[in-house]
Amino acid sequence: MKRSAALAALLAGSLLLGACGKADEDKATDDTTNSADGAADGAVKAAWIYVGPTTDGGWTTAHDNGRKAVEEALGDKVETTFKENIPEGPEVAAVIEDLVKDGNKIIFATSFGFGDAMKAAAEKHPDVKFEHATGIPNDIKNFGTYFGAGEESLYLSGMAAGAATKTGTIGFVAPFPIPEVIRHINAYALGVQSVNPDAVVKVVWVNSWFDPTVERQSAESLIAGGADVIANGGDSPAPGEAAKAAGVAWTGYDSDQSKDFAEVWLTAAIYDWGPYYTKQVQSVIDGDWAKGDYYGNIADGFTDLAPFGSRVDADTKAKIEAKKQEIIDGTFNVFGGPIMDQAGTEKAAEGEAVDFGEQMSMAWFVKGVDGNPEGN
Amino acid sequence: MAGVTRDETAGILIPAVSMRGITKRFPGVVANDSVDFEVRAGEVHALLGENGAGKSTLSNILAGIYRPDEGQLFLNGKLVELNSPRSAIEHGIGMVHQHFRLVQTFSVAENVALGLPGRFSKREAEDRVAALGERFGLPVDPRALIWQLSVGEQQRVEILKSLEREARVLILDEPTAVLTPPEAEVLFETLRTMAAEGRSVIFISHKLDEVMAVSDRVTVLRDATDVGVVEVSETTPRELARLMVGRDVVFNAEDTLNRATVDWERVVLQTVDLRANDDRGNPALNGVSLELHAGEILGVCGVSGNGQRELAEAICASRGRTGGQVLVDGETTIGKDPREMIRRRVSHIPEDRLHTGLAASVSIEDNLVLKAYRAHPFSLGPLLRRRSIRSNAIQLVEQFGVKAPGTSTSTRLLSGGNVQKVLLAREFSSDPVAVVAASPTRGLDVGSIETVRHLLLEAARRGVGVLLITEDLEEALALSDRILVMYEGRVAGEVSRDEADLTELGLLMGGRSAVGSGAQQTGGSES
Amino acid sequence: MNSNLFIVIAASAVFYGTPLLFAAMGEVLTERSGVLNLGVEGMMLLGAVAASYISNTASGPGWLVLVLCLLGAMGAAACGALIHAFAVITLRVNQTVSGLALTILAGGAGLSSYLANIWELKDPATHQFGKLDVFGLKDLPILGPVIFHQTMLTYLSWVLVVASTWYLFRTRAGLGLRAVGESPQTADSMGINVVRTRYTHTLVGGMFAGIAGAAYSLTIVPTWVDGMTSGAGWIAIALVIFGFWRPDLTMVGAYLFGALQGLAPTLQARGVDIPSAVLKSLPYLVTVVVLVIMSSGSAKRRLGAPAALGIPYEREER
Repeated sequence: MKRSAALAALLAGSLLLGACGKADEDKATDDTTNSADGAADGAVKAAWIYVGPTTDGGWTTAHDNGRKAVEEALGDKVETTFKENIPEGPEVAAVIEDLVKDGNKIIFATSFGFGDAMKAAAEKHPDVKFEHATGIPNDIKNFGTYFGAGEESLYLSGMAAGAATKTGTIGFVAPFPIPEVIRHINAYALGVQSVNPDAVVKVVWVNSWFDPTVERQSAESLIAGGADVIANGGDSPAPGEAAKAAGVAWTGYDSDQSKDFAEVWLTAAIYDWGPYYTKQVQSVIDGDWAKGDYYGNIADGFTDLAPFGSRVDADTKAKIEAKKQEIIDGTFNVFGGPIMDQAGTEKAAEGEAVDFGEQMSMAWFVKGVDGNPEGN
Repeated sequence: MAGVTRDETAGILIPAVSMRGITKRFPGVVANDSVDFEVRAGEVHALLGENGAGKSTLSNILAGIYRPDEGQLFLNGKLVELNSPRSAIEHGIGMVHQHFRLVQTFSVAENVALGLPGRFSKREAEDRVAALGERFGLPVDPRALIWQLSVGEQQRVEILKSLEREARVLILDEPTAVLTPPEAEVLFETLRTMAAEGRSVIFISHKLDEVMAVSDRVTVLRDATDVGVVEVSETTPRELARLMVGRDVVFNAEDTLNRATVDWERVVLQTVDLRANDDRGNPALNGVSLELHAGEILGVCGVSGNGQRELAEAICASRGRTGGQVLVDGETTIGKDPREMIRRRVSHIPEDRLHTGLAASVSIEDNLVLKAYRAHPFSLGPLLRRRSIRSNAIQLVEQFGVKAPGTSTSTRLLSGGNVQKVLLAREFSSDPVAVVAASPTRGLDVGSIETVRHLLLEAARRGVGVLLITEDLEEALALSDRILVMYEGRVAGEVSRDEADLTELGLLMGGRSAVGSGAQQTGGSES
Repeated sequence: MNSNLFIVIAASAVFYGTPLLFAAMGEVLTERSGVLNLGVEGMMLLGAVAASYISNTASGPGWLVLVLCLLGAMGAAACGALIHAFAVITLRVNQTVSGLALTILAGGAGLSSYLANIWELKDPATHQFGKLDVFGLKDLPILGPVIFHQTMLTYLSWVLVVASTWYLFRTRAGLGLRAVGESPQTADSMGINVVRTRYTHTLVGGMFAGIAGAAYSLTIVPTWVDGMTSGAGWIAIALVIFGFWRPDLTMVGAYLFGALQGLAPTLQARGVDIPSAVLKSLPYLVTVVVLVIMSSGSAKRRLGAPAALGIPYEREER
């Protein structure tokens, strides 16, 4: 198996480098916690497949925190396993087979590219439950999908950005021109405009989920172009570094960096996967798991805002909290009209909202966004 | 030079170099089998033997490049162990290799300065090289890059390297193989000067006349071991030849017999006012006109660097022409692509046969079809037909007397003579109308030289025109029907074989007009 | 005027070109000895992870920790280079294969990531190389942001460019190094130790790559992230060709590549709508053009690769 070959190579490498690398094999991370041997009888086995390392400080870390929350909540009723750094390729099928053989009853996979292998495995193993984050809804009985309404918290962090900007220009370092990202940028821009109607959100496409150098360069060029708040939608904290170096404010994404970036931190849209994971694993234990396409939101506690930084004033905090409550109460819809696109065409009239299907396939920017929704 | 006794009288009693029972094995070969070898200070000592007799191995051991498996080395009576070229240099031993050890992209001065201790200053190194060259009569531009120099000039750089290191023992591996007689004469002068200064000169050769001319004593190697040491004053070329080959050799015998009849009516290859530049972009060929007839061997002689290489390359289109024309069988050629000349059945046997002529790491059988593999019978569409390639090889190997373990042996592993035979086999088997052969016997042993010369004559008998570019005047005289002498990119004169002699040719090569031969032209020559 | 597009790009070219310059300069020295090391990316990551670790754990005055970071980065990357050197010089393994293996072994999903995992590197580096305000001239028009407002590593790289150019072309050791890369037989017969020369310069090349890695983990992305160099090692290898195996021209190339890399986001931010794929591929296009020009005629001989590049040397070969 490729994975074990890679590990063997690593061990060989660390032996070779032992003299200078201080590699400590005893501390080598084991992929399995609460390992299978000597596990409590009757515990349900649950497994996670990650695309990155659990220490990426972003996406995968957030999911692994969710897994830990499951362990904490369910104790010895559950036995969890994870596989990290799994490439979005044919390897994943073998990883899934192994996990099934090990007796896992529910398997979560956290990257879009795992979808095809998951689907095939779900058809092959009808007694195992499969859950795919950011996946495409389907009609296989034991194959569910889940994701969160990031746009709600992005709207709120946009409010913080709109209050913080003095130049009226906010720079957004964006990964790929896909509906999810465009939806998030639009929500963010609407949040900005709710407190600062004339502010502009400038978008620079990185064309990568993870390219620290280009992400940082993009942030720097936005700052050089007059932006005094930086936002990002990719996986590295590099835009924050650029903001820190230039002393401008930063709204992060998907991870709480309030400690390391205290002087520039505003807030960030974050996901809390723990409650959902706990609920799903519990339902397997209870035997009442049902297939669903879950779209969590702030009301569920699935999405939220990271703690505010010192740059957010009390007045703004209060406004944001109030808006959050409206969202929870269902009295405010982020994509409620009137909404215009860049050209001024009305996309949702007063009293109406952009419908869900349109949101899921968004390919246009709202007015006030300076950038090309087709990418660059 | 520190560490070396300079006592001239002691030099006679205690040999400067004494190698005892030297044995060196390579995988599958014993290159030196318990060889004894002794050189005195102040003498030119020839090391004579056929290719493969172990001369190069023995000298490489003395130069610290190889380590002997058995045996001892004494320098001035002291046992020393040379474990690297550096230690050999430190012991005052310098070597001029047959395949030069020069960095092609470096300047002359940089090559000479290479490996010397102390601070490096380009200017200083250049001045030293210029001064040294003047002192020993080895003029060469210190700023020129090696790849721009002729082979003869490169050799001067090699000798300068050893002189710069004040070598007490200088080894020259086949130094005259690349020189014309006048050049060789200058070299011999240099060697004698160095010996007179108390240095030991080891002169490796298989040319008997040179050995007789320049050395004081001769050690003969045969089949990896030493078979005799003789004083030159007490021997004859015939005795040396017998020692070297192990049998009597007949000199220049069959060459004159059985000559081809030249068809003077049919010109197979003609150049008209041909011009070309050297690698530096300076004019090297200043309008050469010549005619080669069917069945004729036309010798082209000259001191190396006078345009011979450019002539061969310009004819075969591997060098761009800057003017003039080349006609094959009366038809003009474009001269942009060597393949055109192949198509016109003009064969090229290049000077640097192992690199330009053949693919060194490729097997004999594949090398033999390098020109013909594109068509029937060696390929079928995009596929090669291995069986016909192999049977072609087996036939040619037999016909041309190539000694090899098998036809799939890589060419690199063959001796120089056999490499040349493979090349000739390929070129002659492609049914050429004309062959341009550049120094085809250079660096070969007596046996191989005989074979190659025989093959050239054989080709001429079949009606092929042979343009023989050679720096070996005796070879030119022995084989050619006419001889052209090149000087500074022009044809300086033409003589027919019957009226030529060495002195006259030597004068022409040196840029002086021949006496009474009427070949005092500068712009070219029509016959 | 210092926010002028040209100056912004020039300043960012120097900043982002610095790690490229270190890595490429190291590879110049390695390749000049005849050893092709495709493990640059892997060695950079080893350097980056070592620097990141030391920065977060060592205590002492900031400058001392940074020096230790650099030494650690050089050491870690040199260990990687040593594996390559042993494989290709002593064992005479195919250099391309060994170099690729080194990048895979040490790279983004390999040893560097493993070490970062067990060292639990996830916070920003405690000690970083910040931008300096040299002679208080950072606001000087034009030159200020480009020349007087860079990190210590940039200034170190300038010193090393001068030093290694001088070393290569003005010293005996440099002459010997070039001879080993051009014709090891010649160098050997002139008493130069080919094996030692190749080992030394492969290790030195590794150390330079280590500094390049540290430039990422302590300056550009001062938080450890797996595979943070994102292909810079490969660009560095292309730069060696672009710079004709000369440190000075390599510097020009490094800054040109740095500028082209930064051009895409900068133009986007200024609302210039040029497809970023085009801009991103520009450095590689330029390299291809250079390769094409170089492959023609005598230019190849005068400026081309060391003649013995990639060829193992064995003295007793017959």
